[in-house]
Amino acid sequence: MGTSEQINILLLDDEPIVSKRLKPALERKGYYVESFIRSIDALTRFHEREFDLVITDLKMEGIDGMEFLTEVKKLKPQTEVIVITGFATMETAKESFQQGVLDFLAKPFKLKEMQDAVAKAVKRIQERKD
Amino acid sequence: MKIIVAVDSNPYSGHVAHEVGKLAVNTWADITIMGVLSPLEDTAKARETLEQQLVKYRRIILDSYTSDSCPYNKDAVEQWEQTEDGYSMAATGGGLKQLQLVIAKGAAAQEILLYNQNSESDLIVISCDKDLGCSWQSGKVPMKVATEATCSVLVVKETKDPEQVVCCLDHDHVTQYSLEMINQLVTLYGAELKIVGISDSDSLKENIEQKMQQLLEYYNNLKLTPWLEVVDGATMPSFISKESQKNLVALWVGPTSFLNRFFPKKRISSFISDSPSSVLLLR
Amino acid sequence: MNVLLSLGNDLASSIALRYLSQQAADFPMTIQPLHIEAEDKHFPLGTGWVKNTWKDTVVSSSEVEINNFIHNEIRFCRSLSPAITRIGDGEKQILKELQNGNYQLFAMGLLSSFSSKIFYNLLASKLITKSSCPVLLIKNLRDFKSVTILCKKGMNIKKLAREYLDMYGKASVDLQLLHVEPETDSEQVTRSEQVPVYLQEIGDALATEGCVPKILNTLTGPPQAIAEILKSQGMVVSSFNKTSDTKSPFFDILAYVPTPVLVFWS
Repeated sequence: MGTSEQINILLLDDEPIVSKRLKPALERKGYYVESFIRSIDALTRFHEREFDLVITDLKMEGIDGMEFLTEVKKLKPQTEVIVITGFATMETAKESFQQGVLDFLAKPFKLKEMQDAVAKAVKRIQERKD
Repeated sequence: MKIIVAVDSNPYSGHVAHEVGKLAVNTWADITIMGVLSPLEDTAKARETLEQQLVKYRRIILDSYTSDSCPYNKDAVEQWEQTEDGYSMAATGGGLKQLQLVIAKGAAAQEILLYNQNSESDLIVISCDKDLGCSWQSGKVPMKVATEATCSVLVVKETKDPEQVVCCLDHDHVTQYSLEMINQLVTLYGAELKIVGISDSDSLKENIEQKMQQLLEYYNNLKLTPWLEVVDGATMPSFISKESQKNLVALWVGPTSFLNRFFPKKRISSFISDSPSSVLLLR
Repeated sequence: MNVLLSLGNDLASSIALRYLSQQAADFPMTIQPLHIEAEDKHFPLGTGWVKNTWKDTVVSSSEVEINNFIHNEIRFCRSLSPAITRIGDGEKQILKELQNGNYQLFAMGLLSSFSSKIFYNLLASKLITKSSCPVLLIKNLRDFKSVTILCKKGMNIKKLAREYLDMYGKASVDLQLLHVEPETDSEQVTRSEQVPVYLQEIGDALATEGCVPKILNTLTGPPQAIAEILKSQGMVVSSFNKTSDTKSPFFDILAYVPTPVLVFWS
């Protein structure tokens, strides 16, 4: 379980390989990370627990990423969201930002790119907390 | 996604900027437009001309955004700065994503490869003439970059959208990275996807068949139905030549790829040079 | 309609199984998967009790394996019967099952190939020459929403149309009747709405049976390019005369088209 000082991250991607790659890399940076491959499970968990940052894929079975992030922003508007997508389109990019996401990363990306995006989000979260 | 757009002063580099503009609108990638000054032509006039060209290509990319949701700072480029590692660089900060201009000095292919290595980009987009051959330093630059880069390379031949992305993958070693690159291009062009398994004397090896099955499963789970086709290694050159007429051919050219048997570096170079449509080399 | 589906634990079978299950969701059919284990692959030399015990063991373990394969490929298909497993020569066993069972169609997966050789080799095989059952060659997974009947002059189109109606008359698909004139030396395909009289007559005959073709066209051009145009179809149907038809630009279209191909015999 994460401590109160830790940044809590919810990671959602239906491709297990993505979580497998990202989760340990973010944990190594000291973040508390919970990863999910089903959006319904992620949403249930989001209702149960507070997360500072959500990283979500867009194209998924069931509740897709756009619905998920809309729900996240509706429930906790202060939660920062980073969208990752393997099938990027102009519309999804635009809509993501209209929903208030902090960053939009098209796959493929290197770990460093994600770490930079997370660092930017963390800075914002900490500024708000202070 | 981080993209290097390698350009020179030939008209096809304008086409590549348009193509990257389309990709940028979808992916909001961090982009570096890179030009290289040959030591032989490093005069103030040549530098200024190249700077102006890079600024023009930047404008083409920015103009691809018709709405107000552009992730790059649209301010005009004010000044060029010399970096410690010898690059001349222009960047307008403040945007969500980077769109920077870089000029290196030296042998073009070598400089592009070196910059790619240091910046850890995911894709190099480079262009050459649609017709046979290439005017970029006697045609050597795009071929050398394509065959020697450590990341995927898209050699843009024309701006016409392909009907299909035809992936001749090394099915023993299909990386998630290469699949993600394919997926973005399939989305960009609204193209169909074809996965080609290469057989040996009309027999498809079990491991290749298994990999094709996994890929079918992967795409079916994403609600996509790729075409599958089997091509014998011996007929690969004629298959590629047919497909490249109107499709984007993606070749896997990793170090362990058995495609190297059919497409040794020399052949890849001539394939890129002769192909009437764009070519994607996957890594 | 009863369909015998040749099934192995491979990619072609996976495509065939999924495609047929999709067809079965739209109209009534029974799919009987048949799996053949090669005899020489498993059995030790010997006769009598030892060999029979071995056979029983292999049959039951193969049956488990192939039914697991089916379950992994498709979660549920009410038209699908449990797989039958036989041991021996593939062609002989399929022919035997076709002869003894009441099947209207034989289906198998055949991966789409750049070379036409594989298609023609299959047409020349004992399996095809000795079977009277029409064969559905499933090359790719496609939505079964449109069908093209491919015709040429001299073909017994009336018989072909009748057989098609008997099988797929109840399917709700867009039907297209195409008269094809392949030209190996041309570069482009031309489409014309002018069709030969025979095609018009067949179109009318199908319409009276409630199966109205949406398009009647003539296509002229190189076989590979015509095949490319037909790839949007959910199935391409034609007829082959086993005694007189040989490799030709017309049948090259069937060889090259990447969608499922249904061949009737005339």
